[in-house]
Amino acid sequence: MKPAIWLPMALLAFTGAAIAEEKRHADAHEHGHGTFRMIIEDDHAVMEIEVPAADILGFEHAPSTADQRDAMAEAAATLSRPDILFATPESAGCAIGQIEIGFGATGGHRHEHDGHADEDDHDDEKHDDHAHDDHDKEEDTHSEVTAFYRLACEKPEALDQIEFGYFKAFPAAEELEVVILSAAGQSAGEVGPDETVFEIE
Amino acid sequence: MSLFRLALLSLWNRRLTAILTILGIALSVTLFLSVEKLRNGARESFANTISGTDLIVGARAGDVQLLLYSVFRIGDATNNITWESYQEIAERDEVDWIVPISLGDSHRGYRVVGTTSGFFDHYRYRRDTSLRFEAGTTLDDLFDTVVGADVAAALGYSVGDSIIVSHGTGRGSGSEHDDKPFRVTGILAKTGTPVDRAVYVGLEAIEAIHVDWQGGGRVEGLRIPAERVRNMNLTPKTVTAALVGLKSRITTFRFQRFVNEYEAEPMTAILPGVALSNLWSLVGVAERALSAVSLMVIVTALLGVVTTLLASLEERRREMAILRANGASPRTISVLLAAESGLIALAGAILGLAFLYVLLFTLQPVLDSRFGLYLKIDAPDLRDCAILGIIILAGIAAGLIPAWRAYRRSLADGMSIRS
Repeated sequence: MKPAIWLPMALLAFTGAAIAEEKRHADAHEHGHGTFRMIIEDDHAVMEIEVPAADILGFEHAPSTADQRDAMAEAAATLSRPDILFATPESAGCAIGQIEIGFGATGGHRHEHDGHADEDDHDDEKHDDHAHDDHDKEEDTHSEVTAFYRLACEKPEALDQIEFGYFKAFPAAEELEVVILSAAGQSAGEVGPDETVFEIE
Repeated sequence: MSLFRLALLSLWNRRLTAILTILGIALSVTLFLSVEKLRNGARESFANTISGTDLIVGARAGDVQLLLYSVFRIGDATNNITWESYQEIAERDEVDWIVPISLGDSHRGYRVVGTTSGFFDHYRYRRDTSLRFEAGTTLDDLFDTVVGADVAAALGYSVGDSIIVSHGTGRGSGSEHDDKPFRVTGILAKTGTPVDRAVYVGLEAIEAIHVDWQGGGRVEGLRIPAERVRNMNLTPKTVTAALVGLKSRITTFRFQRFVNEYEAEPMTAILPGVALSNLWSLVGVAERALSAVSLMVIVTALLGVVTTLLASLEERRREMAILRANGASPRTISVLLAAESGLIALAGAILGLAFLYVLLFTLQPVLDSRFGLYLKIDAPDLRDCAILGIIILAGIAAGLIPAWRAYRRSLADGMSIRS
């Protein structure tokens, strides 16, 4: 390549970087308020939550004391029980497959795999992206805890409600914004410590 | 003679009062249940304004705002999205179908929607109901138009009529696209959604009527006849919004994130069902008002039950006294009175329920076609049953008050009544 072409190209690359830096973006973050999203398609379902770390851990930085490390381990254990946190009706016969828990800027990312989960879904890719996002934001003072669950249900049509044991497990949590997409349509609403059952319409 | 039989006979003896009481209770029950039905029907109809669409894409905006202008056609878009971005979204693997919506013009107060015939194939309301043509067919020619049911009814259009589109959305703004009239090729069946109140033309037609316009007005001296326009490049430069259907529901959130974080252009993708429920929580004051009304109706009904029963029983102090004189224990009398009023309340509840279903079956088609309010006819739900149960219990309780009074009063008091 002729050197004459190099300069403008380098300049282009440079301005490109400058423009990228100019893009500013801030995510909303409100303690006590998280999101719960669920998609039901055919006989499988996915659930994901994104919650301020303060709601679950009580702090939003990398753990520095033994207590904080214990809190994190305990939270991870609790988050690994979606059957308690986000209980589906027994009649739906849902089995929990893959579980992924991410502690964002507070560090740590856990994968748990279950032999029964179908891994062919490209959805995994998104969750990896997500984890990277969280790592990128490590200097942020706020951080989000994310959890992702894959379910296989024998009778998905019996999935008519979700019972949130979540608020009992994490007393600091005040509210979850719920969005559920199913064959019946999109339903949305809120649950909180006083209203722990979400009816899927 | 069993007590129950005695109660029945006693009621039969005072059948006129009893029937009136039952009717009163029945009407209260019907009123309460139908207010509830209307409330649920209004919410359901609203929530089902648009379904089957996974995402609505528009310029960066709040979800309610985007929903308002793209579906309800209330207010205006702050920005359009470019045709390039629209194309890039349309070409994504996840996308099953995409329908553009281009707003900005009007026809005699109704919004003109530039779209494709895909709109009529993919728009769903009320769970999974497709749009249906009352008359005629879909868009085919450049200057074809399909009108919504309300537009056709209000302006008296039929297939084959010629209409003129105005520039802008103001009524009678004076700038008419009168050099390029449209021909009505189809009239949509009533849906009870904002679909009824719009005029649909092809996306290219929107371009076509604006080729000789610039900066909101016709370019002086430039008149491109409709026939010549047909040969021009009518690729739109922008669209206002797009309805998107995805191949798999699983990709919804990821696709939404993709649109929201689109580098080249600030855009927003909303979940219409979620935006509808957000919007409903804003306009839900009306629902709460109806809730309050139905609560008042039920309180009135209960008071009515107790009052009418009390009034009819109060007249029977003498009868009570005679029964007691004949050896009936206060307990027997209490049971008798409670059984009587319980029976009245039960009959009232059943009759009220019957009235409700008669009303529902007769009014449902009218409400649907005239107001787009769809009331589902189904068995009374748990809440309805609970209320009916409370009414019957209140009836029984109402019988206990005079029973208690009859018990308290001396025999002589009842016997010496003069009236």
